[in-house]
Amino acid sequence: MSVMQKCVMIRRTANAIPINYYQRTWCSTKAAAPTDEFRVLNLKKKFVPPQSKKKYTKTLLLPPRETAMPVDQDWTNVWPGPKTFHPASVPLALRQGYDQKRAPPGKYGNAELMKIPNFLHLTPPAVKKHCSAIKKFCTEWPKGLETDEDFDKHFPMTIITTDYCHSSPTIKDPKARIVTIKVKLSAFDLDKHARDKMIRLVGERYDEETDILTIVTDRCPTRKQNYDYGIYVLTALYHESNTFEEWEKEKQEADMEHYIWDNNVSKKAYVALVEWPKKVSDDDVKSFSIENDLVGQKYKDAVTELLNNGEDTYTLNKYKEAVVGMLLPQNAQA
Amino acid sequence: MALFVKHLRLGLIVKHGFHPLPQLTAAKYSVYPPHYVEPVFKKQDIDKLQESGEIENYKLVPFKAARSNDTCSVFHDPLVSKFINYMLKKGQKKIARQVLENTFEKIKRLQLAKYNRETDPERKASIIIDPVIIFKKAVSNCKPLLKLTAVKRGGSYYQVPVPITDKESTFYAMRWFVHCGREKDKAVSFADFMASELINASNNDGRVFKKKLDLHKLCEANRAYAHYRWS
Amino acid sequence: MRAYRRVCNYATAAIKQEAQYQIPTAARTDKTNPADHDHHDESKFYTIDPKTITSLFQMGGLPKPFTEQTQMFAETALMVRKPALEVIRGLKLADYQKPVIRYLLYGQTGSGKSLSLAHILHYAHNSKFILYHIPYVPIWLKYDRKEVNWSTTKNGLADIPLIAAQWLKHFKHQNEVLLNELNLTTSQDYVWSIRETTPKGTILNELITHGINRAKYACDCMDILLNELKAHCSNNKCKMLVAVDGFNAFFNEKTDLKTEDRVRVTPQQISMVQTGLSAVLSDWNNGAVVMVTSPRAALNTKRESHLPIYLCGRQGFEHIDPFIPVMVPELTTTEFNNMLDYYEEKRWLQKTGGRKELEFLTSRLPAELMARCASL
Repeated sequence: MSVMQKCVMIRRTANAIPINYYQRTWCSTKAAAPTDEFRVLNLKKKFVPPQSKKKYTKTLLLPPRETAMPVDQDWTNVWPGPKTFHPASVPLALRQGYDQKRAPPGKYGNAELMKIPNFLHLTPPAVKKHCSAIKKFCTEWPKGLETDEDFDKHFPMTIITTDYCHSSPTIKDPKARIVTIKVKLSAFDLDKHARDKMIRLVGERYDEETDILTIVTDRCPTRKQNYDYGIYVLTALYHESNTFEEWEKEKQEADMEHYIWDNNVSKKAYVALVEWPKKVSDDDVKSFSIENDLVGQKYKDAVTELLNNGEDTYTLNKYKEAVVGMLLPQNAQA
Repeated sequence: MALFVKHLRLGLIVKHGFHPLPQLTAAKYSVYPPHYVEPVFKKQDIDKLQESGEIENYKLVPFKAARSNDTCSVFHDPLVSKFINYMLKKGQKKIARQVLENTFEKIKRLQLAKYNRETDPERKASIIIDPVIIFKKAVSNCKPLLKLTAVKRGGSYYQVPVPITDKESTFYAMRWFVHCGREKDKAVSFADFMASELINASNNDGRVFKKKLDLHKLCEANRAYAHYRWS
Repeated sequence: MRAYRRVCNYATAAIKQEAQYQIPTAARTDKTNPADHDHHDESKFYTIDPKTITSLFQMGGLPKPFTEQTQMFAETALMVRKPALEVIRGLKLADYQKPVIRYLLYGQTGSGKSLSLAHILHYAHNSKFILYHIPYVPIWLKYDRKEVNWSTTKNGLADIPLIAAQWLKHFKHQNEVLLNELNLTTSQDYVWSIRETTPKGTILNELITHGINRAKYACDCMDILLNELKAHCSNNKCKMLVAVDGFNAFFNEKTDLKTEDRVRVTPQQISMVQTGLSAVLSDWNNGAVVMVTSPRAALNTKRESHLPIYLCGRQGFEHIDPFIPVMVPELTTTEFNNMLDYYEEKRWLQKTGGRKELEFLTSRLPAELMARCASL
């Protein structure tokens, strides 16, 4: 019966009471049950004394190490190997970063200084120390290889490979198989034709400025195979450029690597000018020689330079000088 | 001081058109506080200040930055650059400048033709060819002395003639020129039209000058409302 | 506010100032005949009389802005400059029994190449050269609702009859007096159609008139005229100056022109261009060839450099090799100052004292300077 009553009462009040109220009243009935006192509806929350604030205890820290460093200390002992930047052990007034209103932040607690690689372990005394330590393992420098030129002469070919430490169950890194072969083209004994053919065959792999031919092989799975293949390609290139094929005779003027005055219209124009008013045929042009003709030679040089080196003020002026000497000898004298 | 400035501004809002201390009134939303001074961007001006020793007064005064179209070029003219700004559409300043340059060329051509035609040396000397001078003369000729403002009295608005500031009257004159240039016939180019209009205005003639006279006439007609300005 | 007050007072102040300023006068030379010009006259102005102007440049030859300026100034004054003097000196010294010497004027856009050519043309005109003058090649190749037909006489080539007739008019206008004087005749019969023939021994003027009246044959007429003139020159009967402005347009990749059957033609496919190219060949003597290459004549994708081989290409170079390249540089300081003096004298430049700024803005290019001063 009493349970029923309670239920009714609760239902009646259910519309008005706030959330959580039900639970609270239920709790209070339970608490009041042993004593037969009048139950009090405690609408206000029970006062909980605030938790006392955690006392701030200052951790005892040693002063930064840099303050106690003597001026003449051995730095290599302080910073023996590569290490992330540590402000306390570097006695330098470093600042790094950006602040809109203040000076750049100092070194303590400065993540920017920690992020960048430092070379504090590579000071000249440290390097010297290292070198003197490993000196006893070194053999004498071979004679006759004193300069870079000697190197190029005796070892014209450079083979570049790279080893990697790979951190996975297999230690093989795929990049380790790549082999780069570098050769100076002048190291080969090539004639004019062969050299031109070689350059055309290798295409982009030849650098004109340094005269170096670079062959990169990476198709085979192992380094040894790649190396062998690279050497094979080099050999094949060498022999191929030394052979003269039948179709190479069909080379046109447009295929020429350089401008050759004697094969060109320019010579024809010159011969026509010299032989004027005679009409000149192709045979005349071919047989015409400018051996003893200073004006003609100057003109030839100027045209060749103009077309081979490209036009600029210098080559154009040279060309002008040559042409004026040829067409207007009176002017040149004056 | 700050309080004083604040009150001043409030006063300005109430009594519009009356500027007790124009240097102190900053434009709305200006990035500069009111005590910032206009920049002296011309080298010649700075040299003058240095010669007269006035530069000492500027030493501790904060300056505004010079605007991007402020140059110390010999050919720079503040009134002309202002006019270009009034002319321009959609921020296409380059085009506006080009058009005005064409106008000036046209003016020069017209005036030079006049100059070459003239035989009397005295009259010949009196012909102004410099387009900038003609332009300035035209603008100063077209500056109105009064303007009309709408004032609400007894439920209806009255057009009340009020005195006009120098700055505003310059603005009126230049705006009339621009509007006039835009209302022209499509067959005529802006430069051609503007050139003849400017030359006419410099001789106290032309449409814009007429507009000024019309405004004066209206002000004269509405002089009875003049007291509405105060009460 | 203060600035505005200052501005408003400025206009009257400026007028006052003008009265005190002494307007400079440009240095001029009295020698009106270009043959007399030497290095003493360099950077000075000389005046061409209006009669010569109408007879030489009535139908083109001077740049349009310059023509407008001359109308404004009521005189045509050219500055004597080094490149033109160089070419004129070459023309004076040349051995006319040898094949023609070819000169090529090159330089930046607006450096005064066309006006140098005008100076040379004036010299040649005074020295009784027949002028075979092509005013500006790109005009031929520009799309201008031109009528383009396939040629009936030359296979694979296209004619632009009206333009050719116009050019013949230009030629006739320039050379009519001289041609009448020399009394040159045709060397063979020309059969245009069944009814129209030009018999051997006809005066060249008549041939030209025929070309003008029957525009259909104008292109062929141009070609025949050139061949006749070349032959006459080689026979020592006359002297001829071939002048081509915008020469590099002959070697452009394409034109805007389409024939009636909507085929785009390249410049090399146009018979007039072929005639022009044959005019600059050195297979004749007793004459000279002056060409002008300009970046503006090239297609707008190919204007990075003003140097001749870049503009003409290898083919063009081989066509005119050997030639004397003559650089037309920007104005020297004396020339620049004299030019501005001239503008001030003519009241064209109203603002004095901005010379350094103008020098910087225009990099001393005369055409740029002209345009800059227009609004000042």
